Amino acid sequence: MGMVALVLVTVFLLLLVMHVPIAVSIALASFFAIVAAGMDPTLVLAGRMANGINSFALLAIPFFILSGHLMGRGGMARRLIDFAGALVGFLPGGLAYVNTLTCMLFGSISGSAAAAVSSVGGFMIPEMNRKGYSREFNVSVTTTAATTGLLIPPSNVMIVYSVAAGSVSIAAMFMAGVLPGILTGLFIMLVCGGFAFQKKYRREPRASLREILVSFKRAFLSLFLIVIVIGGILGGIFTATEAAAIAVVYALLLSVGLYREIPLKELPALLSRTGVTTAVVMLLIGASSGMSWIMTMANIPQTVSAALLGLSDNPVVILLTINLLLLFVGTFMDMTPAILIFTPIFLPVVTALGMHPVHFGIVLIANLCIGLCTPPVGTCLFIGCGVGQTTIARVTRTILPFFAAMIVALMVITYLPIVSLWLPVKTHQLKQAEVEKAAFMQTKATTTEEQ
Amino acid sequence: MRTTLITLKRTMTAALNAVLIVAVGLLVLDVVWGVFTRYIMGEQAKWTEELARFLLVWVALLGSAVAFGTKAHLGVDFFIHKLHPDMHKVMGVAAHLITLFFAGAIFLYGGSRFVIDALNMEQMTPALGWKMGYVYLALPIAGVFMVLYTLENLAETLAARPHDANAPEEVA
Amino acid sequence: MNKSASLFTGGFLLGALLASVMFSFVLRGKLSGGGAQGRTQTVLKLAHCLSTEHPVHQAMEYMKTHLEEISDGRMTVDIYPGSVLGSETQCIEMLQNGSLAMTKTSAAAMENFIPAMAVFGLPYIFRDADHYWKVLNGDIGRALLRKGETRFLYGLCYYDAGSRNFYSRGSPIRTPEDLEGLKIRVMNSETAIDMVKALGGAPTPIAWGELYSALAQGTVDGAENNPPSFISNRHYEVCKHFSLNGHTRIPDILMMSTRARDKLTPQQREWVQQAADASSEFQRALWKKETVAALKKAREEGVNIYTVDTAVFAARVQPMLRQVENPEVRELLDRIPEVH
Ligand code: NA
Ligand code: NA
Repeated sequence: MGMVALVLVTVFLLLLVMHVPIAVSIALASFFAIVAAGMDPTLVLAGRMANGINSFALLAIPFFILSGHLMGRGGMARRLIDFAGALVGFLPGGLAYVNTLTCMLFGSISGSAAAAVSSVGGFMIPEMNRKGYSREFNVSVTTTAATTGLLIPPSNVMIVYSVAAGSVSIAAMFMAGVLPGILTGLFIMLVCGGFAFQKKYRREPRASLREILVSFKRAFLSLFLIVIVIGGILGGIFTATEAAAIAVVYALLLSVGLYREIPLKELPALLSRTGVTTAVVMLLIGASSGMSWIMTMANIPQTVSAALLGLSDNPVVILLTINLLLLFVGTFMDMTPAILIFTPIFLPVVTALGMHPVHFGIVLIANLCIGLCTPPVGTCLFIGCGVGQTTIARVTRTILPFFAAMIVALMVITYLPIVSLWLPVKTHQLKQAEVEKAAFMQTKATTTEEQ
Repeated sequence: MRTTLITLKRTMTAALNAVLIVAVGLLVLDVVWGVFTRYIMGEQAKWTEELARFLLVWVALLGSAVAFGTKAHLGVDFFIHKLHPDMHKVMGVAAHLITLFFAGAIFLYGGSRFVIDALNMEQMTPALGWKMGYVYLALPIAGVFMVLYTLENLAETLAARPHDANAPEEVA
Repeated sequence: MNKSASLFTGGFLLGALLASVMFSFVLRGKLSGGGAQGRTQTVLKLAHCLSTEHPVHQAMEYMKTHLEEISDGRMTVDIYPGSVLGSETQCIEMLQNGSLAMTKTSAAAMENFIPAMAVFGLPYIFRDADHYWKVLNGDIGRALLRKGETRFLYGLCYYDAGSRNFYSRGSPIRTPEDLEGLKIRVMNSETAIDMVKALGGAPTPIAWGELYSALAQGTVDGAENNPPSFISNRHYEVCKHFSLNGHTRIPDILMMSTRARDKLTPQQREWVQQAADASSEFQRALWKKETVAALKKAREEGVNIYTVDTAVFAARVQPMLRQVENPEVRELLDRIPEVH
C-alpha cells in the first residue's frame, strides 16, 4: 500500500515541477498508482472524469462564474464602490476601507475572488494610485480583501468542498462562512488603519445622509442579489444551484436590460468564456475524483490520518500542524486543486478529533485564501499585480502585515468553532445536536447517502 | 502546412465554442425552468436536474479541450523558469508528450471503452430514459480534440526558436 | 541556472519520471504474480453509500468475519463505507467493469440497469412483511438476483430496508385525502412520483441531503421513508406525524461483479455465498430491532404514530398498477399475489 502512495506522490510532484497542467498531473499520478495497485487505469479514470463532475451541486459553479462576468462588466461593481465610499470614505485612508468593503460585497455576490480583484481592483487601484496611496499598498489591500468573498456566501470553493467532503450541506457551508468572512475583512481593515495612521493617508469628504441614501438607492438592486441568493436558499425557496441560476438571470436583467452596459452581442463571448473557465475547474475536479478513488483504495487517508493522530493526542497541536501544512501547500497550489486533494486526507483526521465537517471546510478555505495571495502561485496576487501594474517582488513587503491579519483571523476561526457554527445552527442549516456532538473532541461524524 | 494547421485550429475552436455557448445558455434555461415548473406549474419537471448534469459534463469535457488549445489549464511554471532557455524547449516538448498520453489513454481509449461498456449494458438514465452511453460519448469526443490541440501545441513548440519555446503561459 | 546545471536538472526530472513509471509496472507484476508473504489471501473490495452505523454496514462487517472464518483466513473483504469510492450508480458501473467486487444497492437504483427491478418501486404489491420475504426468498426473488448476470451483475442476497411510510409537519396523513395538496419529497424516480400523484399528493423530488432543511423551512410538507432513517436523519425534530401506511418495500441487494466472481474457484464462490446468506439473516434480525427502537424513540420525541387503513391507500393506486407497461414487471405483478 505504501508503494502505491509512493508512486502517486512522486509522479505527481515530478509532473507538477515539469509544468504539466495540474489536472493532467493529478490524473497521470493516479493512472500509474492504479497501475501499481494492479488495476485497470484507463476505465477507472475515464469513469471518474465523467462522473466526478456529474453532479447537480457543481452546476452552481458555472452560474456564479457567469454572474460574476455579468456584474463585473455590467456596472454593478461601480455602484457598490460608490455606496461603500459614501459609508466609510470619510475615515483617514478612506479609500482603503472602501476598497475592502467593496471587495467583501462584490466577492460576496459573485462568489469568486479572481472576479473581485479584477473588477473592483480595476477601478479602485488606479483611483487610489491617483489619490496618492502607494501602489504596493493598493494591490495588497485589494488582493487580500478579495479573498474574503470566498468565505462570505455564495462561494464556488465551498461548493467544491461540499462535493469533495461527501454530503456536507452547501447551505450550511454558506451560512458558516458569513462571520469568518466579515471577521477577516475587519482584521484587514485594522491593518489598513495602521498604514493610514503611519503614512497619514487622506480622507474623503464626509457624505451627507442624503448622499448615502442616494448611493444606497443606486446600489440597492445590486445588493438585492445577495438577498435573493441567500434569502432564497435559507427560505427553502430554491437550492444553491437554482439560486445561482437565478442570480445569472437577475444579473442579466440588470446589466443588459436595466443598466444597458453590456450589449446583447457580447453575450455569446461571455457564455463561451464561462464555459472554458468552468471546464478548467471541472477537469481538476474530475481528475481529483480519480485521485481520491485510488487514495481510498490504497488506504492513504487512513495512513496519513494515523500518522497525524500519532503525532500528539492534543487537538490543538494537530490542528496547528494541519494549518501549517495547508499554508505551505497554499504557497504553490491553487485553491481548487488543494481542496480537492486534501479534503479526503484531512477530513477523517479532524472528524476523529470531533471537528464538524462544516467547521473544517471553513478553516480549510480561510487557510487557502492566504495561499491565493502568496507567491510563487497566487491567482489573486497575479491578477492584483497585473491590474496595479507592479511586480510581486515589490508588493511582498507591504503585503506581509495583511498576511499577519489573515493568519490571526485563521487562528480565531480554527480554535473558536462557534464563529463558524453559530449562524448555520441559528438558520436551521445544521442541527444543534449534531454540532454539540462534534463540539470539538468527540466521536466522528459520518456521511451517508440514503434515499 | 502551418497555415492549414492554423485554419484547422480556428475552425475547430469556432465549432467547439458554438457548442459551449449553446450548452451554457441551455444550462441556465434548464435550471430556471425547473424552478419555474415547481412554483408556477405546481410540479417540478423531473428531467431538468438530470439534463443539467449531463450538459455540465459536456460543457466541462469539451471546454477542457478548448482550454488545452488556449493553454488555460492551471500549471506551475515557477521551477521550469529557473532552467536555461535551451532546456525550456526540451521540457516543453516533454510536457506536451505527457499531455498527449493523458488525452489518448484516458479520454480516447478509456473513454471509448467506457462508452461501449455503457451501451452494451444498456444502462439507462433514470428521468430522461436515454442510454447513458450517449452521455459518456463526451469523453472520446473531447479526447479527439485534446489530442489535436496538443499535437498543435507540440508542433508550435518544436518550430519555435529555443528562447521563446514554452513561453510563460497565462495563469487563469 | 546555467546551461549544464539546467541540462542536469531536466535530465534528472525526466529520468525520475521514467523510473517511477517503470516502478509502477514492476509493482503491478509483483501483485499479479501473487502476494509476497507465501500464503495468498483473496481480498474482495466492497463499497457502499451508508454510514458505519447502518445495519447493512454492520451486516457486512459480520460477513467479513464469517468469510474469514469459513475460508480459514484465505478470503476477506475490504469495506469502503460512506460513498468514498462513488455514488450507488457509480459503484454499479465499477462492478460492471470489474474495478470493484461488491456493493450494496437499493433495488430502486437497479431499475436503470435491470428494468424488471422496477417492480419493487410499485406501491402495495406485498400483503405484509411475511409475504414480502416469502417472495424475496422464493423463486421470484432468486430469479431477480440472477437477472443481471448478462450485465456482469450477480445478486448475492437481499437486505431488509423495511417499509416506507409518510411523515409530515403540519397535519397527520391518515387517509389519501389528507395528502391532498401536500408537497411530499420523493426519490427522483418515475414510479415514486407517479405513486404520490396517484395518492393525491404533490411529489417533489429534491436531493436527500437538502431534505432536513427543506422540512424545517417548509419547502416540503412531508416525506416518506422507513422508521430507522426517520430517526437517524433527525427528521422527527421537524415532523411530528408518522403514519404506518407502508406503501412500498424496496429491498437492498448485495451485488457482486461477475468479473470478480469468475476469478474465484467454485469453493471460494460457495464461501462468499454462505457468508452473504449469513449476513442477510443477521441483518434482518438487526433491522427488526432497529425499527422497534426507532418507533419507540419517535414516541419519546413526541411524534404521533398512526396506524392507518392501508386498504384505502392500496385502492387508490390500483389504476397506476394496471397502467404498468413493461411486460416483465406485468408478469411479476401477476405472480407476486400467488405466493403464499
Ligand atoms: Na462569495
Ligand atoms: Na500561493
